[in-house]
Amino acid sequence: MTPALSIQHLELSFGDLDVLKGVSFNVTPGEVLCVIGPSGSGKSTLLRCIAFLETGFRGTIQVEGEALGQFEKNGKQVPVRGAALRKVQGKIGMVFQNFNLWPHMSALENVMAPLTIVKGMSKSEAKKLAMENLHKVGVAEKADTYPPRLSGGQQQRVGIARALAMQPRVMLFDEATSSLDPELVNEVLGVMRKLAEEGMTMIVVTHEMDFAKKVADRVIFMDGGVIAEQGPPKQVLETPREARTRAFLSLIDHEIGGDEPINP
Amino acid sequence: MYNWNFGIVWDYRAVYINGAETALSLSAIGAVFAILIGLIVALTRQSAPKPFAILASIYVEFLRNTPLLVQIFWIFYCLPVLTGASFTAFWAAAISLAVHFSAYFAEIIRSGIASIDKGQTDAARILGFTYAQTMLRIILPQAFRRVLPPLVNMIADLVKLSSLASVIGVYELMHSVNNTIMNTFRPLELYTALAIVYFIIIYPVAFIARRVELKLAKR
Ligand SMILES: Nc1ncnc2c1ncn2[C@@H]1O[C@H](COP(=O)(O)OP(=O)(O)O)[C@@H](O)[C@H]1O
Ligand SMILES: [Mg+2]
Repeated sequence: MTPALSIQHLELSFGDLDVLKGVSFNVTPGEVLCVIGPSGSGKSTLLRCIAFLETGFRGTIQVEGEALGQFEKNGKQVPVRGAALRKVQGKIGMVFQNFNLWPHMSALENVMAPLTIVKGMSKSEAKKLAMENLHKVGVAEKADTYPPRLSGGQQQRVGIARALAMQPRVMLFDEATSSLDPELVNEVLGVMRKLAEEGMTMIVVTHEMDFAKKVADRVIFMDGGVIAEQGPPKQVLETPREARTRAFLSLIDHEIGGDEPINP
Repeated sequence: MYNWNFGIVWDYRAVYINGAETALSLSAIGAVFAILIGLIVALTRQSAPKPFAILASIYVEFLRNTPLLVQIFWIFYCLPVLTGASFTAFWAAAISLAVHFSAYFAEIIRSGIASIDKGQTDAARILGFTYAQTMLRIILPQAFRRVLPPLVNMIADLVKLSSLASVIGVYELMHSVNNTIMNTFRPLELYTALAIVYFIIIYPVAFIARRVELKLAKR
């Protein structure tokens, strides 16, 4: 079976700073992969490479067998740009920590805009599909509201609807709940969990260990730009093999210790 | 005591009306092209390969640090000699205003674009927008709202400075009124009326802009 996503020897530096130092992994269709790790370990950068928002990487990223941005031929990197790039990039959906909704458009317009502008759908078709997706994430009644007037949880769900409407094959979540007030976290995690249950292929960067435990098929622990440990959630989160995984997990435990348990 | 006679302004109202028409079309042409060129220069500075970006900054710095009056004379007298193209005083003045103010608009637009969070572009790109679509549909509409006040101030400046076209003999307001004064020897009435006419032209621009700004802020 072709992997939904295949990453080989991914490396990226910003100037002198090596941020990704050879990351390789595959994601099978329908798999939910949670990525955890300390701040600065390269988790966001990894997702941004897969979204092709970072372009200067070395190595290869394939989405359903198709090269993203570049492929290697006789030891040389051959760039893929323009429409061919956007076709592969179009299989990826991304949800950001800061939502990144477009504030000059209503919730509905945020979801419709990529459908009409990128996919060339008619207004009525786009509206129907957009409303379906807003409904799915539970913010249909806020369709005509502008982002600044939505709560963080509502904004993030609109962000998820906007990505879903484009019918991506893989969804990336970069700390989708980290900038939310604690009482709003669950409404977003709930949507993500529903998506996972529907079989969406997902890579989720998160600090919500409970979510990882319950929803992930596999957990990757990143540290210093490499995958330090990976495996089933129970193993990585409860009986980690690496000392640095243990150190990280005890730190996280400490931070959220005393908080309500999270039940997505 | 000076003997005021504002009746003379009414007698010469055609001078003001024609002059205002010319000043307005001069300003309108100047402003439209200034904003278009400014936009292109701003995008070049922002996203084009380095040599082009540097050229664009030289363009901006040069135009902002030379007097408009000199630019008007240069474009009217020197440009035709260098290029062989000839144009009327009106068009020389329109081109001068467009070029001079494009440098200022470029700076305003660039600051507007730079003020938009990078996440806005990230979201558009991952959803498949091209560079042009991202600019036109996502970045510029937001940037435009933010820079509306300085943009309108600059347009008001442009209308005021269109009076400099009088130096190459364009019959806009200033030049027309100057001519009339030579015939009537009534500078006090005619210059006072001239100031009022400029005010009547420029004030509504600022007024409407303020209303639009408030309306956008309410959303
Ligand atoms: N655009 C950039 N330019 C320079 N350094 C960057 C850039 N983006 C990220 N970094 C650096 O790369 C490292 C990894 O960042 P990031 O991927 O955001 O980590 P994480 O998401 O795991 O916290 C950090 O040291 C960060 O400062
Ligand atoms: Mg991060």
